[in-house]
Amino acid sequence: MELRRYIVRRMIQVIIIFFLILTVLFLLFRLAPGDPVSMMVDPDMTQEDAEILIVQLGLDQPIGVQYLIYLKNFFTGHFGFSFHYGEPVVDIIWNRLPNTILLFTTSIILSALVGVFLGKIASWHKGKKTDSLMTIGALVTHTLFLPWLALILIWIFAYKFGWFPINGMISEEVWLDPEAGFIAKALDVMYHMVLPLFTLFLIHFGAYLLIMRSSMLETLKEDYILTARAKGLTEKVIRDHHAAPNAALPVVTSVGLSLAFSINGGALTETVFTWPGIGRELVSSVSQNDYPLALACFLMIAGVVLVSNLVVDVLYAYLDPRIRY
Amino acid sequence: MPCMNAKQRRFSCRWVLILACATMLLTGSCLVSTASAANILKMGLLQEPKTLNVWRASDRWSRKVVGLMYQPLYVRDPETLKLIPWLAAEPPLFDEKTLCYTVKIRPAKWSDGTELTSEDVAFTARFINEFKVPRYRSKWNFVKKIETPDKRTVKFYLKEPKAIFVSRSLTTPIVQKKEWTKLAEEARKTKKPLKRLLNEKIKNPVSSGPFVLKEWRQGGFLYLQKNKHFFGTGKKIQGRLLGPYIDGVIFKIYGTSDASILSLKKGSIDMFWWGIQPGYIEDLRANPDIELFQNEKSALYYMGFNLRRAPFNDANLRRAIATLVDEDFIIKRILQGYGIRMYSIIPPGNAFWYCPDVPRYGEGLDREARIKKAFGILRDAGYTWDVPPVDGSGKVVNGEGIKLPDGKPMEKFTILTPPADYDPHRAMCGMMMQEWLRMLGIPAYSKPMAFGALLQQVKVRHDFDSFVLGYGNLSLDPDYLRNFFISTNDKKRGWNMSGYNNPHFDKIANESASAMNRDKRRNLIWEMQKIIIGDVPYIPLYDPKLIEAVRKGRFTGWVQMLGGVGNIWSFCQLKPM
Amino acid sequence: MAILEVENVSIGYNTKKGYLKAVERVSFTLDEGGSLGFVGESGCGKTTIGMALMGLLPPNGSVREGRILFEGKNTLRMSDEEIRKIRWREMAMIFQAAMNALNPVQRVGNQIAEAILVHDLSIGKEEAMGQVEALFELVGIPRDRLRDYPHQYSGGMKQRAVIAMALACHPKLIIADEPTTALDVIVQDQILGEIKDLQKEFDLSIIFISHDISIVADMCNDIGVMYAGQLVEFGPREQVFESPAHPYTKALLSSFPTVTGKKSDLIPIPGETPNLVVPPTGCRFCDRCSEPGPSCKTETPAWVEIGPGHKTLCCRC
Repeated sequence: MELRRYIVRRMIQVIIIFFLILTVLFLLFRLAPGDPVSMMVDPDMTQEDAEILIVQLGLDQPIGVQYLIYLKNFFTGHFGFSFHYGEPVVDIIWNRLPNTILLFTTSIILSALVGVFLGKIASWHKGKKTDSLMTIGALVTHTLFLPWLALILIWIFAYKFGWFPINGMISEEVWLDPEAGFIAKALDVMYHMVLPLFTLFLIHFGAYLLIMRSSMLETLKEDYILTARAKGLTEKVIRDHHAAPNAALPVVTSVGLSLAFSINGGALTETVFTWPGIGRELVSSVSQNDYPLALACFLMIAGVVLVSNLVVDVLYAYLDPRIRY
Repeated sequence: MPCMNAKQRRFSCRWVLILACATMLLTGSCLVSTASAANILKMGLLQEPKTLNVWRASDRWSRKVVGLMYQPLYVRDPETLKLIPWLAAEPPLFDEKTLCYTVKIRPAKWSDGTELTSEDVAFTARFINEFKVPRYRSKWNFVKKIETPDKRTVKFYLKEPKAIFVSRSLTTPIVQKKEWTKLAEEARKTKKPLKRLLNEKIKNPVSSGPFVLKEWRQGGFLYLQKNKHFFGTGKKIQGRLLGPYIDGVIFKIYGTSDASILSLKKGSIDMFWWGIQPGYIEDLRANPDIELFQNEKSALYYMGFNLRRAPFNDANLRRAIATLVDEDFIIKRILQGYGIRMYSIIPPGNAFWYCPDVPRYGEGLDREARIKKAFGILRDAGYTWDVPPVDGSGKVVNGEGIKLPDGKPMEKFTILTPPADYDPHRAMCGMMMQEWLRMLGIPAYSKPMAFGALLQQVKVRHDFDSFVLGYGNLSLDPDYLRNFFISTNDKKRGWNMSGYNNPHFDKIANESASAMNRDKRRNLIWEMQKIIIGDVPYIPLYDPKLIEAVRKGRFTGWVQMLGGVGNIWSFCQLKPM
Repeated sequence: MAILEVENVSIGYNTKKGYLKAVERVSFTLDEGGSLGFVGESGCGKTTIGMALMGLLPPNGSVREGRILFEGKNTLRMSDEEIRKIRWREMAMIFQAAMNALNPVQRVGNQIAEAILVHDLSIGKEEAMGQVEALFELVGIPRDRLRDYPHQYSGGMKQRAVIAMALACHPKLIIADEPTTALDVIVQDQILGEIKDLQKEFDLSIIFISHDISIVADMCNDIGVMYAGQLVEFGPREQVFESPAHPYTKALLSSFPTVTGKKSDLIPIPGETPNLVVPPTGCRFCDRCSEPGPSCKTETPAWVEIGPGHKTLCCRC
C-alpha cells in the first residue's frame, strides 16, 4: 500500500515536471536566434518563398498561440512534421530509436557486466599489481576521446585488417540479396555493431569498474563480511555472494540512469560510425532549427529519464530489501 | 542464491562469452567473402538524403539523388556550359511579339512505362504556380498561359520578357501529371495545401531520368536502378552516346570525411561525392587505386558589409578594406592552393557572364604598398588618426585611433563568420581580415557565430557590421547578381543583405532581367559587376577548387565539368571496365 | 582439560601513526565447558584477542609472539585453509547484532544454512534449512521468519538469529563479543539467559567479551580484566569481585552499578588510556591510579599470585 501511494505521488511529480520541461524547451527553441527558414541559404529561396514557408510552418503565429497549438496537438498525440524531412517526427524517431537502443543498451550492459566483474577483482587485490593495472587501465580508457579512439579502431580493424565494416549498420550486399533471411540480416547488423560496441565498451567499462571497486572496498569493511569470514566461508564465496551483491547497488543506479540517457544516443559515436540513431538526428535537428523534431526528441528523453528514475527507485527497493516506502 | 555453485556460474559465463565472440568472427568472415555486384556504382555521401520529394528536396544530398531521377527540359553542356535540349527535342522557339516560347519534347517515357507528354510539362508549371512551390515559384509566376497544342509541344506565354526563362524555368524538373494530380487534389482539401504537398512522402517516385528508385533502407543505403525507360538510352546527345551502361547506383552514407575516404581507399565505394579537403589530397594522390579530379566550382565566398549604418555606409572605407585583402595569402595559405582568386561576384569559371574588367584592389601589391594605398584612400576621404599607419617619413607603423571624416572615433565592429567546425576557411578569413584591418588602426573583431544565429542577424534582423559568408553552388545564370544588390530585396529575409541601394544599379539590373538577347544581357551583367565591385558592398574573397576522388579500375568515363564529375553526363556515360 | 591455552600472546596493528601494540603478552587458559569473560574499556584489546582466536585479524594486524593452542594445536601455525575449516565448526562467534552482522540483502535463514553447508558437504540445502528451523526453535524465533530479511527483524530477534547462527555447526567454543550491547535491558536479560541455558545444554566453552563487568560477572566463572592491551587481573569470578587486587579492577567495580549497588557509589575513572604506539614504561595504569606508588612509573609490573588462580599485574600488590 505504502509503495503504491509512493509510486502514485511520484508519478504526479513526474507529470508536472514533464510539462514544465515541455514549456521551457518550447520557449527555448522559439526564442533562440535563427529559424528554420533563414537556414535555407539557397539563393533560389526568395524572400517571398521564405514568407510563404513561414506561414506554412505556422511560425507566423504569436508564440503563445504556437504554444497552445503545440499543447493541443500533443494531447491528441500529434508531434507535428519535421521541418526538414517533411515526415511526422514520430516516424523519424521510431525509425532511429531502435538502432540507438540496440547499440547503446547493449554497450551499457556489456560494460557494466565487465566493469562489475573487473571492479570486484580489482578491489579484491587492492594495492597489488592487478589492482593498479586495472585502475589505471580504467582511468585511461575512460578519459580517451571517443572519436579519436573510434577512428583508431576503425583504421586498425576495419581498414588495415579489414575484419569489420568501416561504418554503418547494414551492408547492401546482404540486404539486397533476396535469399538473405532474418538470421543473415541479424548477423549482418551484429557484425556492423562490433566496432562501435567495442569502442563504447572501452570508454565506459572503466567507470563501472571504478564504481564497483570503491563500492566493494566500502562493503568489505562491513561487519557482515567479517561474519561471513568467521563462518569459514571461502574467500570467493565471500566476495561473490556477500560483498558483490551489496557493492553492486550503486552500479545498478548508475546503469539505470545510463540506460535512460542512452536513448539520446551519442551524437559523436553515431556520427563516426554512421550509426543511424537518434543522437545524430537530435544534433542536426537542433543545429537546423527543426523545432518539432528537436522538441520531440528532447521530450522523449525527458520522459524516459523521468520514468526510469522512478523505475530505478522501485528497482532499488526491490534489490535492497531495506528500502521500502 | 547463496547456495548456487560459484564455479558453475563462472563456467557458464565464460561459455556465453566465447560463443558470442565466435559468432561475431564467423559472421564477419562470411560477410567479407560475399562478392559485390560488379556493375553497380557505389557512391559515398556525407549525409543521408532527407527526402525524395522533389519539391521539398532542398538539402544538397537529397538534390544529388533526386537529380538522377527527375529530369528537366534543358541541361548544361559539360564543356560549353550552354543550355542544350534534354527532355526537349530542340532549342526553344521564342516569339517576341506574343512573348511565347514553344518547346518540343522528345519521345520519352516515365519509369512506370507511360508516355511523358506535353501535358506533364504543363502540369508541372501549373502545379508550381498554383501551390507556390518555394524555389520554383519565382521562376514561373510570370508565365501567363500554357498551351499544349499536341502531345509533343508546349507553348508558354509570358506576362513580360524574362531573361531567366530558359536557364532557370525550363531547367525545372518535370513531374508526372498522373502521380501528382492525386496528391494535389488531396492537398487542395486541406487548410495548408503547400505544407501538405511538401510533407508528402514519395515512396516510389515516378521519374524519367537514367535511374529509378529501387530500394531505400533509411539509415542504411539508397539503391537506384537503371531505368529501362530512360529516354536517352542509345541516343547521341551533344555527340555523347548515352547509357546508362551501369546497372545501378548505390548511395552509402558516411558521417565523416575520414570514414568515406577510408572506404574509398578500401574499395567499398567507387566515389566520394563531396569535395576532398586539402589535408587528404597528398595521401590520395599517392594511392595508385585513386584518381583525383580537379574542377572549378560556381561558388562565391565573400565579405559583406552593412551599408545601412556607419562606418560601412562609406564606399571609401569599403574600397580601402578591399585594398587591404591579401588574396594570395587566402588562396595559398588558407586554401592551401586549392582555390582561385575572385575579382567579381560571378566566378571566372562561368566564363560567359564573368566580367574580367572590374577594379582589382590591391592586386600585385605587397603588404606595405597595400597599407599605403588604403591609407591614401582613407586620408583623401577625410579620415584621421591619432597615430597614422604611415608616418611622416612614409614608414608603415601600427595605426591607432582612427576617426571618421566627421571627427568621431570609429567604434569597434565585428566580422561575423561561421564557426571553424562549420567552415574553417571562412572563420580563418575573418581572423585574417581582422588582422589586416588592425594594421590600419581599424578596430575590427572577428567573431565566429553559430550558422543559424549568424543568418538570423544578417538576413533577418539586419543587425550586424560585417560578415564572411559564401555560396558553394551558384546557378550558372547570373540573375543572382541582381537579387543580391537590388534595393527592392533590401528587406527582412531578402537577399540584399548588405542593404545596397543604388538607383542606377537597380535600373540596369531590371533591364538585365528582361533582356531577351543574350549578348545584350551580357553587357548589362558586366556593367552591373563593374558597379558592384566599384562600390564593394561585398568583397569577393575566393572560389575554392573542387577536388573529387574516384576509384580507378571498376568504372571509367567520368565527365569533368564546372561543379565536379558527379554530373548527369557521368552517370549516363560511365562504363564498367 | 583445557580447550584453549593462550600463552604470551602479543598482537599489533600497522597504522599510519606507527605500530600499535594492541595486546601485550596475554596468557590465559579456558577449560572445556568453562566460561571466561574479558572486561575492559573500549580499545583495551579484548576484541582483538577474540579476533586473533578466530584468525580474523584485519590485514594490518598480526600476532607478534606467543602461542594459541586450540585443543592442543597451535592455530597460529595453521594455513588459511586449515583455520577456515575450524572456524564455526569448532569455534564460532556471536557478534553484536546491532552491528551489521547479518548481510542485509540475504534472507536470514539462508545465511545460517550457508554456514552449515560450507562445513558439512554431505548434506543438501533442504536438510540444512531443516536444521536452521530447529535452531530457530531453539533460540525462540518463529519459523515463518526464516525467509525474512534482517531489516524485518527486531533487535532482539536479530541477536537471537546471530546466536542461532553461532550454534549452527555445534562448535565447542563460542566467543561472544558484546552480544547484548544496544539492546534494551529486558531483552538483554532474556538473551543472556538463553546463552547461559544453551551453554549448559550443549556443554559449550564460552569466551565472553564486554565492557560491562556486571554482565561478565553474571555469565562467567573466570574473569580477565584488561587495560591498555594488557591483562591486569585474572581470577575466578568470586575472588575478583570480592577482593579485587588491581586498582583498575577496583575502579571498574565502583564505576558500574551492581544489582544491589547504589547510583551514588559510581565513581568515573579520571584520565585517559595511554597511547599504545609508544606505551609508557612501568605500569600503564599509573597515571590514572588513585594510589600510585613511587616505583610504579619506572618499574615494569610483574604477575603477583594473590589467591588460587587469582593473579594481578601490579607493583603494589
